[in-house]
Amino acid sequence: MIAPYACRIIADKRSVSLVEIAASESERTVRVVAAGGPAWEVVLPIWYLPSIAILGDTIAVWAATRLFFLVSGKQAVRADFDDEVHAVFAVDGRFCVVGELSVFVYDADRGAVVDRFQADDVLGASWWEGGRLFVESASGRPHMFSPSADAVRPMPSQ
Amino acid sequence: MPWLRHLAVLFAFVAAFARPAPASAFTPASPESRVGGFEVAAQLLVGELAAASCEQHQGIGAAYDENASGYRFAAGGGARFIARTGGEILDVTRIRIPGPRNSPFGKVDYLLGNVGSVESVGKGGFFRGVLGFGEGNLGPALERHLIENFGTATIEGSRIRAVGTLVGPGGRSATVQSVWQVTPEGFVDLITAVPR
Repeated sequence: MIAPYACRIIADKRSVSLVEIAASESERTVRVVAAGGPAWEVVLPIWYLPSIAILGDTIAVWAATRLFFLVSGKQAVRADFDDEVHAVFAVDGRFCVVGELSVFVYDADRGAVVDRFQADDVLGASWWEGGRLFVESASGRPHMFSPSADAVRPMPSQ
Repeated sequence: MPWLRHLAVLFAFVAAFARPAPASAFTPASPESRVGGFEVAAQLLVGELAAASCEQHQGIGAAYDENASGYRFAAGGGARFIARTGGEILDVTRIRIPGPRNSPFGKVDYLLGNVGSVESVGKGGFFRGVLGFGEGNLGPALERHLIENFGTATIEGSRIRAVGTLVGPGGRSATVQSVWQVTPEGFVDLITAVPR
């Protein structure tokens, strides 16, 4: 028997727990609990294990191409993309999403992609150095961005 | 003379394919998209089609496959070219599954979880774990996936996104999106595949 998925993430004195409460052949229902605060139930594709980002007041939970934004006092906001989601960062009140094939700024309130950089090949891990976002590329040389609330702003490679 | 009728049908096909595609199909999606890459490839394929017409016209009438999502026609029993109603033509001999380039791993390794990354492990859980594919059969299955779904695929610039059912060797199936890039040389390379 395989145990249901469960994990706890702690970041900057915030603790968030994910517990699988139901599963079908294709989807997994997960209860997301912010310790001492609210809880949500979200349904994710079962193929991939859930990923989590704690972004100030917002918790982002995703698997494959489906992403949820969870804010205290509000219902979960669901977004489905063409690209698999690799990482989510908060940028100036919006979100910078690193996908498998693109990097884009997403406005969760409007449910709209504000700006997108389309890569030629699959992208990998991403990290920040100062105000610059680095994203691994298939070429081995990372892409660089200086994202804002309105634009991804790719930078020339070094 | 039956051959004359077939020749006329072929010319009608070529004329239909040679007409300009809607501008939206070739709009660059981003600064990195290859501008007009698919247009270049389409012209190239039309050229090849014309060159190959002498050996194909005898089989073209019978080669129309109404079960496929596009129009198929080829010499003999094969189906080398698939055309969409928008005019784009896929030459199935130009489809490639890239092997290792900048790492020891190729696309099939990436999709089967052989690359030591979160992304690859997730893919492997699906393509190997759920659908049961291995190194020997995933590539050909994805080629078929593109061929079977080219007629309804989304084309943006030089990128093709095909959505349809992928059946694993054990019979389990799932809806999958395969993503392909038309190269400046006219090849159609697998970029990735995603469960939908």
